[in-house]
Amino acid sequence: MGNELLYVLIGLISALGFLLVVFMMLYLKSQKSVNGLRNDLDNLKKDKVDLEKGTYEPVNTQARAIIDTANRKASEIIASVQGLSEQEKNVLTNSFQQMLAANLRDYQAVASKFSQTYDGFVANIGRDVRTRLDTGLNKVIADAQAEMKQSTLSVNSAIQNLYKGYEAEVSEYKKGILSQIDKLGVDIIKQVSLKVLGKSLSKKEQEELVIKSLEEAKKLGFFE
Amino acid sequence: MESELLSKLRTKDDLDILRGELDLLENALYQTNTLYNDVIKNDIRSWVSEIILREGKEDLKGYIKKIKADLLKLPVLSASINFEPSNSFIEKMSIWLKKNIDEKIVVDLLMNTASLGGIQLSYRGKYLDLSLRKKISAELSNLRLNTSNK
Repeated sequence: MGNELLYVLIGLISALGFLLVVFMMLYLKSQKSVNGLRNDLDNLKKDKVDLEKGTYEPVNTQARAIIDTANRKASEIIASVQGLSEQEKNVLTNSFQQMLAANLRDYQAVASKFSQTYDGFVANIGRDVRTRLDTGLNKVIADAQAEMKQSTLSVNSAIQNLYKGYEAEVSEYKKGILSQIDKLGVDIIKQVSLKVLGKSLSKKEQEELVIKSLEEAKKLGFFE
Repeated sequence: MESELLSKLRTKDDLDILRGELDLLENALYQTNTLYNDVIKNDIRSWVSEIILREGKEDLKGYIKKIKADLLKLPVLSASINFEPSNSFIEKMSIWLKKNIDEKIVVDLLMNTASLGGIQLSYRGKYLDLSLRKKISAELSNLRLNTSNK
């Protein structure tokens, strides 16, 4: 009986030893994994800093260039609009520029602020002028956003070309309207003037006009 | 010596009438005395016959021939106006022309209502449009040019 108990104890101790060895091996293996993960984490952190400092910088530079271009064009459009005071134009320009500058940060909040300022100032100007202002500024925003996505350095020339096209279109439109008004005006004025003047002169006035015309002809040296 | 007849001419119509009277009289001179007397009494205006008989009593044929030749040399001013001129206005215009241009000048008056006023002149191969229509058109052209430049 005493020997049997001894054998059982020896078996249990052997099993515990084996388990201890296994646990030790697992611990060492997990420790190695933890160290590897820690190194990976450190590398990732380093990559993140590098990316923030270096990789994204050119993109940010392009974005700033695009925003600057958009700001300049928006300023030109606002400055050319009629019906707003210089002070209102300045506030509107600053507000618009703040909205674009915050494009990558808190866009919604600043855009909302700009919309309030904009609506307040343009409420008193004519519908046609406002439509042109709306169109012009929306075009600036749309152009800027489109160019942001592309992130190419050719954005400035592209916007310039679009803007030139816009200007040319407006110029042609104005020229056409002026031509129509001019043509219409001359025809109407001519017909009315001829009818009114032809009928309004009395016989005596007609006779005096003939004598005055003869005097004018003499002054011009027609009879010499 | 200049005939009084020429100084009394105001218009081209006056000139043509006088030329017709002189032709009748000249033809009658080569016919019978009866015809001559008949023409001078019935076909020639009294103030014209009086001047002719007074100025041409010595050589009537030569006188008429000279008058007809002088008529061809008279300066004629063609003038278009837009109303029917009264006799007093024709007189006024003729006085102005004889005083300021030539004492023998006659005016050929034409009517052109399209001119609206003023006068269109043609004289010795030159033309000058001083009508109201021309002046209005010029003003409108300036207006159109100014509008286009803006």
